[in-house]
Parts: sequence; structure tokens; C-alpha cells
Amino acid sequence: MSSEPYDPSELLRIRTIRELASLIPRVLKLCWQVSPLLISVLAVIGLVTALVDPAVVFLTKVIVDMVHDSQGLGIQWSMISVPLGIIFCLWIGNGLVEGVNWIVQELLGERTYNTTNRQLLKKAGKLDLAFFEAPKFYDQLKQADEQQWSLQGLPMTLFTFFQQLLSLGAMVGLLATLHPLAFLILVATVLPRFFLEGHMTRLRFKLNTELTRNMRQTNYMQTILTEREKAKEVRIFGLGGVFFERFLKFRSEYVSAHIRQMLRFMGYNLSLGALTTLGIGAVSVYAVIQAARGEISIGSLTLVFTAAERIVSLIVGLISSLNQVYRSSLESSRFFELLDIESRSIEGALQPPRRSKPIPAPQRISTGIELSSVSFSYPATDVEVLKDVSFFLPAGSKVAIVGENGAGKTTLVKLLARFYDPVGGEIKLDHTDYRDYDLASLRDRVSVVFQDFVKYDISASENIGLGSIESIGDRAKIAEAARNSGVDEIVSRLPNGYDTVLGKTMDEGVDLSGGEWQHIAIARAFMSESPLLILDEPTAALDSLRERELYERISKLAADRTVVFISHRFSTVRMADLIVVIDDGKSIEVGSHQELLRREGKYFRMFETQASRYR
Amino acid sequence: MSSRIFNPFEELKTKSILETLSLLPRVLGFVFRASPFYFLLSNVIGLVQAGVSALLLIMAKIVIDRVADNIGTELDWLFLLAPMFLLIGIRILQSLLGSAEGLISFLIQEKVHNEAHSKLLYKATSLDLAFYEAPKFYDRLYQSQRHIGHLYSTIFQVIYFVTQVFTLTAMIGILSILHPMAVVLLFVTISPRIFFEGYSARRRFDLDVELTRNFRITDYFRSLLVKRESIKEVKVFKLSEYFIEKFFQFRELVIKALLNLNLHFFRIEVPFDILALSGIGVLWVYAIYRAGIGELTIGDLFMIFGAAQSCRWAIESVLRGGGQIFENSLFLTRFFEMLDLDPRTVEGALEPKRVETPRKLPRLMGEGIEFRNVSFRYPGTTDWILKDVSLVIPAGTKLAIVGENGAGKTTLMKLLARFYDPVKGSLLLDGCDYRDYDLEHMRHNITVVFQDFARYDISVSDNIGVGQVEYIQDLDRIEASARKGGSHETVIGLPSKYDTILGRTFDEGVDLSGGEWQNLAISRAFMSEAQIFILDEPTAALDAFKEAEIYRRFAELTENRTVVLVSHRFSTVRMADLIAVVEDGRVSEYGTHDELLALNGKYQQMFEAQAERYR
Repeated sequence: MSSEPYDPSELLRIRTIRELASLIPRVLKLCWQVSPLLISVLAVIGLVTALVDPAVVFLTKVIVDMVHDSQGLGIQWSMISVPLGIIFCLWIGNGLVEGVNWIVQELLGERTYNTTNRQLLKKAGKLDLAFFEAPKFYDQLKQADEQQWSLQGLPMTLFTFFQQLLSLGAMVGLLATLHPLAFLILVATVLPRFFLEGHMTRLRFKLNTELTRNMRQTNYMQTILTEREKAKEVRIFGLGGVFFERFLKFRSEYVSAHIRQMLRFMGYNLSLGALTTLGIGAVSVYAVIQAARGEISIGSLTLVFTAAERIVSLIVGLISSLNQVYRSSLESSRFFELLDIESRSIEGALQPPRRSKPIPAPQRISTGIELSSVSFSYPATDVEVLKDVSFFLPAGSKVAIVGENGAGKTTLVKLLARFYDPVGGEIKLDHTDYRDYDLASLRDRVSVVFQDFVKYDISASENIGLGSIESIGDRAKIAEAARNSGVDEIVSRLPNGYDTVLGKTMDEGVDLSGGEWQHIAIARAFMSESPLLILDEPTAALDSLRERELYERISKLAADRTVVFISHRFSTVRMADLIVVIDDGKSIEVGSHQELLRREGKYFRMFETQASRYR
Repeated sequence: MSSRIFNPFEELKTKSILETLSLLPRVLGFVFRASPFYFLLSNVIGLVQAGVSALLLIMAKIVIDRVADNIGTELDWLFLLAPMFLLIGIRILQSLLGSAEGLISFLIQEKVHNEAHSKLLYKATSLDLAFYEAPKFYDRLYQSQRHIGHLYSTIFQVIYFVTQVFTLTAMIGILSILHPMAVVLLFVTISPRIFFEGYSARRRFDLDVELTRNFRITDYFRSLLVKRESIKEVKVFKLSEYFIEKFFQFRELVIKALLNLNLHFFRIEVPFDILALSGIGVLWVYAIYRAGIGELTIGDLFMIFGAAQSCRWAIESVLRGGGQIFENSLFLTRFFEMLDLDPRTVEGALEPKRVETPRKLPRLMGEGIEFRNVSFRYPGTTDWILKDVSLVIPAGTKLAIVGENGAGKTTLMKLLARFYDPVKGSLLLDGCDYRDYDLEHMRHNITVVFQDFARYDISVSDNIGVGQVEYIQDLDRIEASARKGGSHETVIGLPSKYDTILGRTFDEGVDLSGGEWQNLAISRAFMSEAQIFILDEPTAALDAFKEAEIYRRFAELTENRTVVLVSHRFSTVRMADLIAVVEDGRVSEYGTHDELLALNGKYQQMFEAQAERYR
């Protein structure tokens, strides 16, 4: 619930060119880890192919000289066939090597993608819920996820860049044999172009950063118009036009900003493009003069011309791969930033284990769970969602949590599942603080059916089996969970029984009604044998017959399990052994249904409000 | 999970190269219409560039010949250097064209982007709900969006292709000095590659098609690991490892397939390469021979070396470019198919207008709505969801529909809102068939609060305002609706009140609790001027007080309106004057609360299941 203003300059600040350049060794290291063999092959190939072109240019000069010297005297084929032969061998070799290069690149790319994905997914799995609920981080995750493709391309662009640089160096070297000064002139006229290019790239990046929000809004408008979930409303309210107009408005802002910038860049490009041309021109003019004076051979003159031609195209190529490298590293910086995130860096992240050796959580709960003066506010907010909540959940009891909308019930569930640690007070399981238990084993003891449970678009049996992942293939256990939760009756009506694919992602998918989906989610919780079961509005979409049945099933099945549920239906609530009333973040009443009715407090009023309509 | 290979391109498989290429005029036409001026301009630039590269070679030849002829003699500097300066001038022109090209490319890209997305979004909003609920069709929308990128690549490839064709023509002109058959030789040795390019494009596309379904499943698993909506469950059930493994199993498959395909290509490509090079080789040797016997000058030799190489590159680019254009066209068929999609071809789409001028709805319904022997099943399924339903909803009444999960209640609502037409039977409004009314006008008169209502990540006022977009700026009306829907109090507690951005898409977004969102969705409906209100479980997430509040004011709030509501909370059901019980797709009971209780049937049973716990 952050309300921190969006600040585009913050994005800019953390990614200067130098910082981006420092990413390059990291990318190379990553590639090295992916496959030392592939990366070495790539490097050798790059080195070799970079020199093919300069060598051909040089050999052509030799041929021209031979032809010129022997003009009128007849060609000496035995001599000329040497450079000629070498050129053809180089070409054929180059063709072969490039074929291999292509395969190596593609393989390396795919393998890199695998590695980055593994790292990213593992990281995402390790991060606390707090990260997922903070827009800034979540954005970062999504961007890192989307931009993995750039990371995959980065080593390749880098290699092209170095290859072109090497070629350029060799070509400039060939020209420098003409006159030492020629080298200086070329460097002096070519270099400014690279600096300018760097500058323009930075400006381009800055503009893109400024337009991040614009792009996000554009995307969001597009999503609304094409998302299945929103299709019904868009039609009933006739929203197509409004969102479409907004889409166009955002787009035109984006385009005009870019055009302004490109026009400005065109001016820069023209002036510096001309400078480079003049530098190369000067060297060529000098070569013509030298050749005419007989100081250099005709072959050398042709070498200068060809090399000049190549230098121009190499510069164009270099600039584009430089841009590519810059863009890819910019995009992949997100990925590395994500890997570098310190799990505890976010406000609201779980606290580190307080003991050097956390205790494994007990298999079953023997006494119960105690909340004492628990208070909580979401990271980056100062609203206290929970204030001084204290109550005791005896082992094996069925506890209902009731309260008005927004009172803090769902937050309480998040604390019980240890997605967050309380800001004040403590939660104890069998007299030991939650934070002293090993997190994985603690989570093992808790199973939750969320209010916004997930509808997995996979088979019915997998949908249930996910509740206990190690038993996902255990059909007998899944069928038992289905029977115990009463969902077997729904499954038996499906065209392929347990093998029916649910949802609308897959073609053969069968969609269920809202209540049926909720029932499947409940069955998932029945799969697990965890001693604490939390149900957030488990009956919201269930019909009254199923609602009644469900409670009987829970108490029958979970005699020794502690069950906590949230509900607005008092028909469900009153079945609990213990009811906790949360009001404005405080636990104001705790007791059995009868006790709370006698108190004639909040609970009594809430119950009566609903009950009056059942009489 | 079925392992049948899903093939969304099934119908494409049979398409021949010619058929696919017949799409090209359409692609070009699309680009041309999006921005005729820039498209032509960029082709003109391509033409000029081709001319420039030929001119450069000719100029260099002239300079070399003049130098070679004058070595050692008295030098005429002007004669020698004039072509040289011309050459430098041409180069500057070249770099000028190069920088203009960038801007023009951007402009074309943006225009095409806008045009393509606009067309697609427009199409998306014009399609019936049936389209969104059929995975096969919905998939197309998703894919066609993904393939818009191919549209840009096609543009640039076409422009590049044209440039290369011009260059080729110019170079052929130069080579014909050597021998008229030179060009024929190059063609004969290089063009066999065209078969290879066509073949490899096809194979690549086929592989993509083959992997699509598996890709979607694994990608779906992957997405669950990084999505906010599912992360809680992934953590509770510890699904991370499982999904990651599934994902990588598939990735290994992809890599293997790609490697095999590339090795296969490599083996085929090598002979083609050698053939092409030998053509050039023959030309070089022949040119050297002619120069040796004095038939060609050194300048000619230089020019022919250059032209032969350029020719080879140009021919290869033309062929490869052609291959890419072909490949892209294959992908683009998705995009155009989407644009061509006739909304009526989707099974379950609304029936076309039956009368010339559809009726307008009466300003106030006189009789009401009647379901007459309505049967319905979803497109592509065989199960009847509604079976011979007959039901009268008198104008101005409040009707509640109750029934077990999966009985067909939500479907009934969808027919009532005319998202679908009945498969058998008909719906009548004031005695006239639904299908004779103007759809737009009808939608304007019906408003719906869906069970899975949309949560828009835009401002609060927009979130409510979308209920009647004409009034989206009318803050008074929005506030009044918020009061009616019971969300005003929540809103004034938000940091920027009605301007607060909701949801987690944007950094400053504030998230609401489940019940608060539902209140907002109800307020949205009150924006509307509709005379028919459809409420699907409007109180599922509301607390007892909020529910009671709506209950208390319901009659006043919905005066003059016909209301149909679905609920599992009988405390909400009692807001209605009339109740219809839906059982297994049929209306089994119909009457007032008291009448139905007296009937001692399903209603009594369901009501009692809940009511007994309120006593």
C-alpha cells in the first residue's frame, strides 16, 4: 500500500554508462559459467573472422601490383595464383566458420536463457511476499523477466562489437602503412563520432525513462481491451471507446517526444558524419598524390580505396552494435539488480532467524498458537492495520475471525502463515516465537485457502494435487482428498474425470462456475496434512447446502487440526468453537458464539443484522 | 495434461509458398496505407544509395586509371584530383542519407505500430464474449498481438530488399563491361540458394508451430512463479521446484530440436556456399587474364573486383531477405486472420440483426422480460446448461435467483445481458424478441455487477465512472453513486480521495480489501441509467453491516428498475420480491419467499440450511 511518488530520475541515477560497462564482465562471466567451451569457440571464431577481411584487402593489393607490373608482359599465373588461392581459401573457410558460429551463438543463447531463468526463478521463489506486494519491486521482477531475452543476446552483440573493432583496427593499421600521420587523422576524425554516439544513447535512454510511465499506461489500456477477464465489463459498460482514446493519446505523446529527439540527433549525425568522411577523404587524396608521384604502388592505392570503403561501413556497423550493446546491457541490468536484491533489504521482509540454528516446527501442535499484542503496518505505510491483537488459538480448535471490510482480517491470515512478521508483539506456536522456527518447516505446517485463490488451468487432479506437491502423482490420495472435501461429485461430472483440463487457457479446457472453483481450492487444502489450516472466506461462493456440508467435513476430517477461517456468513461463523472479532485492527471480542451473543457487543450486532432476515 | 500436440497453425501447414507470398501485397499495402509518403521516400533513398555505391566504384576506377597512366609524367593535379573530390562529396551525401533513413524508419514504424494496434484493438472490442470464452479464438488475439513485431521487420526487410535489388542492378551493369555472360554466371552459381532459404524458413516455422502448445503450458507454469496473484499459493504449497523442473524439461527439448535443425541447415548450406564462391573466383581469374593481355586497365580490374563482391553480397542479401520476408509473412498470417475474423464465425456469437432497423428499448419497460422455453449450451460443448427454462420477470420487480453451485445461474445472467443468444427458445422484452432490439441500446439499458467484477488500476473516480462513461467526468454523479453503493466512506479515507489510483500496476497505487473492491463495483452499477440491474453475488465479500445497509436502502436505490440478483446469502436473497430456484438447468420453483417456504421444496431446504444457524 505504498504511496511513494513515482520518480523516473531515480531509475536514471542508478544506471550511468560506467555502471553499465561494469556489467559486461559480469555477463561474460555468466556466459563462461554457462559453457566455457562454447564461449571459447565463439572468441576464437570472432578473432579469426575479424582478420579475414583485412587480409583479403591486403592480398587484393598484392594481386593488383602483380597485374600492373606484368601488364603487356603476360600474367605470371604461378605467382599470382598464390594470393588468389589464399583469398578463396579464406572465403570458403570464413563461410564454414560462420556457419559454425551461428550454431554456437544460438546454442549459447538458449543455454544462457536457461541459466538466467533458473537464477531468476530461484530468486523469485526465495523473496518474501513483501516484495511481491511492493509495486516498485514487482515491476523490477516483471522487467527482469521480460528482458531476459536481451541478456541472451548480449554476449553475441558484444562479440560482434569486438570483432568489428578488431577489423576496424586492422583496416586503420593498413592505411597507417601509408603514412604515420594518416593514422592520427583517422583517429581524430572517427573518435568524436563515438563520443557523440555515447551522448545520444544516454539522451535516448533518458527519454525512454521519462516515458516509462507513458508506456506502462499504454500497455495497461491495451490489456484492458484485450483481456478475457475484463471482456464482459468492457462490453456491458461500452468502455471500448474510452480506453481506446486513452491508448491513442498516450501513443501520440510518445511518438512526438521521440520525433523531436530524432530531429535533434539528425543534425549531430550530419556534422560528425561529414567529419569522418573528410578524414578518410584526406587520407585518400594523399594516397592519390603519392601514387601519382610513384612513391607508392597502384596496388597500395587500391588498398587505400577499399580500406576507406570498409572503414565507413565498419563505423556504421560499430555504432549500431554499440547501441545494441548499450541497450542490451541496460535491459539486462534489471536482471542483475534483481539477483543482487538482498532478501532482507525491503521494509517488511521477514526478520533473519534469531537463533543460529532455527528449530524445526513441531509435527503437530500440542498447546496452540498465541498472539500477544500483535501490531502491524504494511511496508512504506504508516497506517496501522493491526493494533494490539491478542488471542489464543488452542490446538485442535476451530476458530472464526469476523469483522467489517477492511478491519484487518486478511492481514492477520498473512501473519499466521508468516508471510510477514509483526511490527510489534509476537506470535508463538507452542510457546516458541514464530521467528525461532525454521521458515520452511513452519510453512510446512500451515495450509491456506486464500480469498483470491488461484484457478490453475491444468487438469483437475493436478489442481487438487498441488496442495501436496510430493503426492501430485498419487491418484488415490487425490481422490481421497476430493472425497473428503466433497469435490468428487463435481469431478465425476467432468468429461474426462480427474484428467479434465480446467480453465480457458487450453483449448480442451472446461471452465467451472465460481462456486465449483472455490470448492476445488478447498480440496487442495485437504490434500495437505498440515496441522494448521487457514481458510479466508471459504464459503463466499458456495451455495448454502455445500456451506453446511463443508463445515461438517472440516470438523470430521480435522478433528486434531487447528482451523482458522474468516467469513461474513454467520451461518458458517457460529460453528466455530471460538470466535475472534476484529474491529479497526484490534481484537475486541473473543469467545464462543453463545458467550459473544450474551455480551451484546459488536458480534451480537453483526449477527443480529444478518439473522433478522432469516426469521 | 494431454500430450497431444496442439497446432494453432493447422490450416497453415497446407499453405504453399505462393499462397503465403500472396500475403505480401497485403503487408505492403498495409504499410503503404499507414504512411505512403515515408514508405516511398525510404525506397527512393534506397535507390539513391544503390546508385551511390556504383558511382563510388566508378569514380575510384577513374582515379586509379588516371594515376596509372600518369606515373612519372608531369602531373595535372586538377585532372587527377577532381574525381577524388567528387568521390568525397558523394560520400558525404551517403552519410546524409544514412541519418535521414533512421528518422524515416522510426516514423514508418510508429505509424504502422499505431495503425496495427488500432485495427487490432478495434477488432477486439467488436467481438462478442463468445470469442473471449473460446480458447482457440482468444489465442489468436494473443498471437496476433505478439506477431505485430513481424510487421515492422517485414517493412525494414522490404525496404532493404528493394535497396539490394537496385544495388544488384547497378553492379550487374558494371560487371557486363567484363563479359556479358558474367552476370549469368553469378546467377547460376548463387541462385540455388533460394531453395535453401525457402526450405529453412519453412522448417523453422514448422518447429515453432510444433512447440507452441508445449510452450504455452510451460510458460504458464513459469508465469505462476513470478505473478503476484499466484505467489502466495506457490509459497504455501511449495510449488516452486515443481514448476521450475517442468519448465526446464521443456527447454532442453527446445534446445535439442534447435541444434538438430541448425546442424541440418549447416550441412546443406556448405555446398551452396562453395558454389557461389567459385562463381566469383572464375570472374576474378578471367578479369586478371584480360588485364594481363592489356584488354582491361588496372582501374577496370579494381572496379570489377569490387563489383563482383558487392554483387555477391547483394544477391545473398536479396535471397536471404526474401527468405526472411517469407518467414515473417507466415507469422503475419495470424495478424491478418485476426483482422479478417468475422465475429459471426465464432460458434455462439450473437445472431445477426433480423430486422432492418432494430428497435429501441422503451424508455420504461411496460411488461417485463420473459424467458420462453430457453435452452442453452456453451459453444463447443454438448452439455445443456439451461434446459427449457421459462420465466417471467415483470417490469420493476426484484427477482432473486438461487440454486446450487453449477446449476446455471451465471449463464442465465449472461443470456439476460445478451452476451449469448439462446440455442433454443427465446427471450422477450415487452413481448418482442431480444434479437430484434438494437444491441447498443440494449446494453445501455442493462448494467451488471459481475461475480468476478473487474478491478481497474486507474483512479477511484474513473473506476466508478466507467459504469456510464458519458459521465466519467461528472464528479457529483460519481460521488452520488459511491454513496449509493456504500463506498463513499472508504474513498474519503484514501490518500487522494477520488483521485487515488487503485491497484498495484502503478507505483502510487493503493490496494483495497476484497469487500471494498466489491463495494466499488456496486457503486459502478449505480452510475448507470440502465433500467435493468443484474447483480451476480453482489454481497459475497461484504460484511454484515455493509450488506444490511444495501438491504435497507435497496428498494429506494432501485426504484423503477428491474433487478435480477444471484446470491447464496439468504439475507441478501430476501431483498427480492420474487424468487426463482434453478435446479440442474431448470426453473423448479418460482414465487415469493413465503410461498416458496410453504412449498417445502428445494428453496425451503436451502434456506433452512443457513437459517437454522441463525436461531
